[in-house]
Amino acid sequence: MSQSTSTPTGAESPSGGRAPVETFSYDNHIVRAFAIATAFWGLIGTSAGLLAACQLFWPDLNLNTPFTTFGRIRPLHTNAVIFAFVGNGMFCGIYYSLQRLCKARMYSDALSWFNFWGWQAIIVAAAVTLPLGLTTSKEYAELEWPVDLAITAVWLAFTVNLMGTILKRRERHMYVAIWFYIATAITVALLHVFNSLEIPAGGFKSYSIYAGVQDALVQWWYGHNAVAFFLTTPYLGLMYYFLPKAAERPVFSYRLSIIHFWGLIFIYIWAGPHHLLYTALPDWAQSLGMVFSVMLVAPSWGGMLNGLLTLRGAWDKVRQEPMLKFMVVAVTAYGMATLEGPTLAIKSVNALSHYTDWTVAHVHTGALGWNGFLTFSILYWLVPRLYNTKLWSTKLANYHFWIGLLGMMFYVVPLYTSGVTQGLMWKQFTSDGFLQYSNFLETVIRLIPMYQLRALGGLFYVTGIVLMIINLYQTTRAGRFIGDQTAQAPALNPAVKESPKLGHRWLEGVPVTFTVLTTVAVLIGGLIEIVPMFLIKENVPTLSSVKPYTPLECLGRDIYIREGCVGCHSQMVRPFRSETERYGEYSKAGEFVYDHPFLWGSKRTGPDLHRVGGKYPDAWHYNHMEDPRSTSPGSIMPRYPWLLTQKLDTNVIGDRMRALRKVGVPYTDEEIRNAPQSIESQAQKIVAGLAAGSITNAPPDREIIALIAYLQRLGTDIKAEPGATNPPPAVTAQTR
Amino acid sequence: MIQNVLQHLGGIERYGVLSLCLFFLLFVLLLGWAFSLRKAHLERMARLPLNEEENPCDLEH
Repeated sequence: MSQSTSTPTGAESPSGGRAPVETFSYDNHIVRAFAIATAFWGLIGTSAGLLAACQLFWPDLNLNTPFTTFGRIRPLHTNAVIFAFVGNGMFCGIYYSLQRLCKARMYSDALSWFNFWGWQAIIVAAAVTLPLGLTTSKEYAELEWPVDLAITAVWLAFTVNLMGTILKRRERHMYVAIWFYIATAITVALLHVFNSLEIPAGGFKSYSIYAGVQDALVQWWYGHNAVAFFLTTPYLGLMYYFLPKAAERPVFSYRLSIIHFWGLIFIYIWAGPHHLLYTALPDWAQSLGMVFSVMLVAPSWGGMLNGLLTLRGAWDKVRQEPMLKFMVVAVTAYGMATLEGPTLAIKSVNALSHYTDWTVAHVHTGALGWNGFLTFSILYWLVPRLYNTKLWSTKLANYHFWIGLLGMMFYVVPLYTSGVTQGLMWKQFTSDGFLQYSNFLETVIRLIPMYQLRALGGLFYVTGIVLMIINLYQTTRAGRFIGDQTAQAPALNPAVKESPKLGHRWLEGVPVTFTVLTTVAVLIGGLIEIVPMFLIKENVPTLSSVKPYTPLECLGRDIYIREGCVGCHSQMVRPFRSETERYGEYSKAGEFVYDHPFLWGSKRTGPDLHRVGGKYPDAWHYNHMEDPRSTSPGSIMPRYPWLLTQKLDTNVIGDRMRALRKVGVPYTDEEIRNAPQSIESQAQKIVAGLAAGSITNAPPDREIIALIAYLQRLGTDIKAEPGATNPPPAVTAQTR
Repeated sequence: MIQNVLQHLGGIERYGVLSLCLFFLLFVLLLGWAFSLRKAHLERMARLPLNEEENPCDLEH
């Protein structure tokens, strides 16, 4: 039932004047659908994470199939948790709270269901394509272009439905939760569209229109703000709605929530470059990212304190209500993560933490604590109300709380230890001035016990979700679902207009103006960072010796992307003595001008590969890919035996080179025409190199040949013409 | 032409300071904005989530 009906009785509208009271209904069907999806994908997403966690100390769990290797399971896990679990949780909470805060049913039931089924279809597409190796490799934006288009359509439907509901509301002023929903809808759309600009090179293959440094900046503008506007702002809106509901008292300070909102959305967007400190990104952009990240503590903690202080005088309820326990831990985890994030964004701290498990621990404080626990809290509160009954078992919910909390502790504490241990080991020199742990593997093997403990934490956490699903299912069996919940409210009196002189109060009543201002606030930071990066030539000094990849190397690079190598190997040597000693010359911005997409990575479970070209013979790579433990005893890398047997698909090279030419790689018509001959000729050289390393009769038309060609090319361009150019370093080399 | 001007834009090192000043100015304005609101409005808005129909079974279809 979606039609509103008027009654003759008048009522005093909140903003004055008499208006007819209207009877309407809230749509609980859509809320229930998203709640079920949240619980289901929560279990799937965290289980995929548990599998990935176990693969890191038990490589056999990669199962020797392409579809189940860590490189493909990890993006499956991150996408499932972010977009499937948190995404559905966000929609569930928004569809419930928005209707009640606006005193109106959703604008369109059809759009609601398009949003639901479209989103589930996207998730299923991700679950199919990522294990198949169909990926862009850009973190949290791995899905290929057809899925990107679907995301755009579904998000647009959600935004129209959101704004339509707000416009037909019966409450003049928009509550703070709605501001956060608006910011989410607008900003996620901007981030997704601009980061996903790519040229198709086949059904499920594309190349980013950006290259190297610029791609890195756009990706982390997106990546950081995906955390901000997908994992944070909608959940802050939910906190502002569900916490007062559960505590049965108003938010501590509405004034503080105004400062929280505007401060947060304005600052967050600037902070992306803190993911790229000490890289080839220009220094000014790094400093900007660092300063704004530190400033971000202020609004974040304003929000956290606003949440916790809402519980003043209600702590006895926290002891009794598992839902509030989850909420308190969620808000506390938000506070911890938003203090830790800016700390990690300080360059001297980042020098130690970046590429280590410290970052993984940090994001899981946010994901397990903030998003996970807030979602559980909402589900425990919501499901009994949707079914007009009580929670089946408070005791079981308490068990879930404690096992979930224990799981979080077992997850993050070992990973903090692991991160600091590995960061320090990488930088440790002997008294003679040599690297103490020159073999990277030594720093990995030391972490294995921590990885085992982390997996135990994950197991606890997943067990907690199973308990919740049982509890909620039994709750639904005990009650009766209220699909259309009737409500009454007076219509807004269109004759009543507020003056702009009322400041923020006026703004809370004009959603279109509010949305425009929100858009301006989030655009300022993005434009100031990104536009100069594209337009100022000195940001990316040209290196004359840097040439496009050969056709065989190009195919090898695509295999590197397909297998998700970027999930464990960076391609960015930072200007530290500890890194130049270990890997070689530090990376320069000009070396990546043909890298569509960039593959700098964000984690070194294995060593950096930017200077791996020419470091080992071809035969070493061949043996290493077949069985990493044959060349590196104790390695935790998966085996890739299929690369030795699968035939290289060379038919795609024309389309791929043409697509790359469209995004700026200067391939000539002749090079594209002669690509098959070029591939054959380079492959024969590698076969000869393999024969020199006692691998005889290696077929030249297998995927491993292309991958070796790519790996042997990596980072060698500047060696080809030493001293040809000498661009200024992005940052002063440090002796750490 | 605009691109040509931007390509040779100088003083990029001052972007950080300018951005900081911009934020500081906005933050001060925001504080003024928040503190200019009347208490009655703030209290009414803060109670908004609590003013709903709390007992759905009474209105059940």
